[in-house]
Amino acid sequence: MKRREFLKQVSAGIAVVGCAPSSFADNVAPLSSVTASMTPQSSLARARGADPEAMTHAAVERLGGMRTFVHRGDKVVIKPNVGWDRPFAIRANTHPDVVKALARMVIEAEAAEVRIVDFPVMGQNPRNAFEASGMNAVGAELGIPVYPVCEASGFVDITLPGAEVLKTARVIRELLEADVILNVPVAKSHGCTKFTGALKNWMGIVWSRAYFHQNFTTDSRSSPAHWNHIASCIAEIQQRIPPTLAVIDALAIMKTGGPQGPGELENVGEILAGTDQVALDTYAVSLFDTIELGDVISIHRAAQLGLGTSDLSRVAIWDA
Amino acid sequence: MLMCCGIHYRDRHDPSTGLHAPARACTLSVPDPSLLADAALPAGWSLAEEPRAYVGDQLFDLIDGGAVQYIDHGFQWALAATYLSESGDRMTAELYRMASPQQARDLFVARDFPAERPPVGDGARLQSGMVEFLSECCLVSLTYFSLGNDDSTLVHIAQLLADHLAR
Repeated sequence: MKRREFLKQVSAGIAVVGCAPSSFADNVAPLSSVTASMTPQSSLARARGADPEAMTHAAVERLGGMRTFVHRGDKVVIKPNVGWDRPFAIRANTHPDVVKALARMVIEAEAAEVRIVDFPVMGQNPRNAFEASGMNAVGAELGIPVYPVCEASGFVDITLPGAEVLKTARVIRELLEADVILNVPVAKSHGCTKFTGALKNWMGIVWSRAYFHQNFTTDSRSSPAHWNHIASCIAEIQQRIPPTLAVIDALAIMKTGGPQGPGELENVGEILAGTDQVALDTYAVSLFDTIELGDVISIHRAAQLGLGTSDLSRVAIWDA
Repeated sequence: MLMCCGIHYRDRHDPSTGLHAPARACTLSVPDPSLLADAALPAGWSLAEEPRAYVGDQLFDLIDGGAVQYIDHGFQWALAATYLSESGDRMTAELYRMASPQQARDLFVARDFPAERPPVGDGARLQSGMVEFLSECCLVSLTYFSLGNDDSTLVHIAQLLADHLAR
């Protein structure tokens, strides 16, 4: 079954769930058990250098090339982090050359369609964010659509069978209609979750982000209850709508001041690619001397759900 | 002039009265759009739209999870505005009002990073088209979008805004 067909069936099932939740739940295997059994050992590709396009290409090639993930006629969505109306050099958004390289590879793999989609932070002007980030220029150069999601009509309601915390969510419609989803975050510090990378980037597909911060109150402030809640939400939305492939921009990491910046930048010069988002994030955190892995609860929650491994000793790192 | 952690802060002691005179923003319990709307601008620049206000937890709408650090430092309310130039340049301004000058200062220091230090407001820092500075109980952030790489316009407008807020 193709990914799009699977997700459509799940969505269709969800439409019925309101009437008969038990029958639907019985028909859907928990994704966690499937994923866990498929990832007893993990791997990721790492490219180092100064040319983002060449590095991105090399990292994906190290995983077998884009045709490993994209087949002729597929509908492909690239979801970078375009959360912020910030100048490119602040590095709050994914480097456009990384996205451009991926889009080129997708086109070469004869996808029927590829588009760049994101839902910037609510208070940021989406069109300005896409312009400032360089994504509009990528779309214009390659002749592919860019889609800054601006309206509620661009979202669809889903439920998350088996989720402990995030029972429902309103997510970007394009993702449910895609055969292949490429998750393309930028590695940054984060004032709330300490780190944002592949896992946290999936919060950007959700309209109702206020729920993610539900346990944050002016009384308790940033408490363990809040951190655990948002970590579970992040892991569960990843479990429900798993990306096909993730490519992390770790070219210049924002070590402090994230997610919006400005902050202290360090030129690390790495591009990371793989299908294990937990392993990718775990490795990316190791690039920061300002973040402790134990503080990034979303990684541990995702590992608990079987989405991947946070034990780098079990991760093969393939240099591209 | 006060100094903390390498950052200089103006002492707003009023010699005529002998009292400390707080900036107007620090006397407001609710956001006043005129703080950003009425700032002097260079010729050719104008306010694009009425400033937006964010109170309490609404800060998550403006800066998502970045809000946590601000709220932990006594965040009260914020204003956000966009200015446009006739030549097509754009600038956004965000003003974050904290509960006290000390909390604003603590937040500013907590968010410090290696940067240029233009002579704007209190302890300004500049990085790649963004300026942040303190104005008593407010942390102000200006972001400049231009085809050029000259930050002089950004620093100039930041200084005008700092002067406006200090009145």
